[in-house]
Amino acid sequence: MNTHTLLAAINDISDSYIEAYNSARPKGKKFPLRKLVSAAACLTLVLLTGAFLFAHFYEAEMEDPRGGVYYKFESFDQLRSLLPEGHILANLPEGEVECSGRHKEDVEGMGTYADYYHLDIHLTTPGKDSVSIYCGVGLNQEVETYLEYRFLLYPPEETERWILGNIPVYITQQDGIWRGAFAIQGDVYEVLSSTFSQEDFLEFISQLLNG
Amino acid sequence: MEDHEIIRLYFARDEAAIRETDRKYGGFCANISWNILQNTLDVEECVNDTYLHIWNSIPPVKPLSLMAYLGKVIRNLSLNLRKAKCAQKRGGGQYDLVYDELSQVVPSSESVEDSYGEIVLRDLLNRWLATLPEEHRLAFVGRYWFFDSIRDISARMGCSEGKTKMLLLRLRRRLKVYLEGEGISL
Repeated sequence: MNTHTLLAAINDISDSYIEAYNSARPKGKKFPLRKLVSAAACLTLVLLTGAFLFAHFYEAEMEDPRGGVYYKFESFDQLRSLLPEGHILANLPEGEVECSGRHKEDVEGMGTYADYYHLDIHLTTPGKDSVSIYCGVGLNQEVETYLEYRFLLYPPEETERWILGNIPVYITQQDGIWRGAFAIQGDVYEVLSSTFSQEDFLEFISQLLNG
Repeated sequence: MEDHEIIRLYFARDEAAIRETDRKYGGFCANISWNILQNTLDVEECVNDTYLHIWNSIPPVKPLSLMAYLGKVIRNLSLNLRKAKCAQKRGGGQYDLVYDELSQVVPSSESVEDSYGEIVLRDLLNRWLATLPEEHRLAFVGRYWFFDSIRDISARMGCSEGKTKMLLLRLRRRLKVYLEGEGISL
């Protein structure tokens, strides 16, 4: 058996070779610089691609079917400066306000009030009540016509009609969210809140309308 | 306990020598034997036979390296036991792999034993090993003396298993060429 002969011959190799192997301690795997650079390059590529895709889809999410350019106001004062005199959105009670809107076109800066399709305002009062107000600028629709298109959110049999400050206001509640809709001078407004009671919700809209 | 102290115990015929040998080199011996036999009972038998062999051979033998001497004895005993068992069936583990790998190196003719014999082959191997870079020599010894797995050798050398396999393949080819050059016809 030749292989056995070789195996037996290997048995008698120099003691120093045996000791050298036995005393060689396990080493950590080498991680050459080239691998490190490749890994860093791949990571950078993945991050850049991710950022590009995120930006692309985020923008797409903000797309308005009517076109225009999304604009986020840095402060409520920026929005207030656009509003025509006596506009009800200037009557907001004290609180923390976030607001945004969509330009009809890509205009320089904020433009004017008439340049917007809609304005969105989110108000958090010092009492932690939370209200969202949607203003459809220049829709030139009766509120009843507007609600006909949104009958799923304002089912006629569950929607109450109130007159607040001589303006008809339609309110309803679904899944704990109060919704109110009304129209003033061609603009349509929707108010939403999940923290108010019905009484407080009506009171809030009254204050908004009466200034 | 230092090796020379253990050897002194053997020379004094003190049975504590076996206890100290087992304490220091029991795992080392069992590991080599396990790589060849893959059977707990067989390993235990070989380890005990090794201690008996050492007890009977020291003195007069006074090994320069007790570790290497023990290793050679248990490796030899394990190979013999394995050879006896191999006649019946193949087992598994590293032995079969190493055996197959070395079969590619060794000539198939009977001339190895007839013309050269084990002693000549041993000298050839030692000379060939001396020509290798240290890392290559470690890989060869780890695989074909210790019967260590590719994974263990790779961990010890700090490289991938693929690189170790490739290195061993090249070493076997070089050894084959070397043996042919020394007159062993293949």
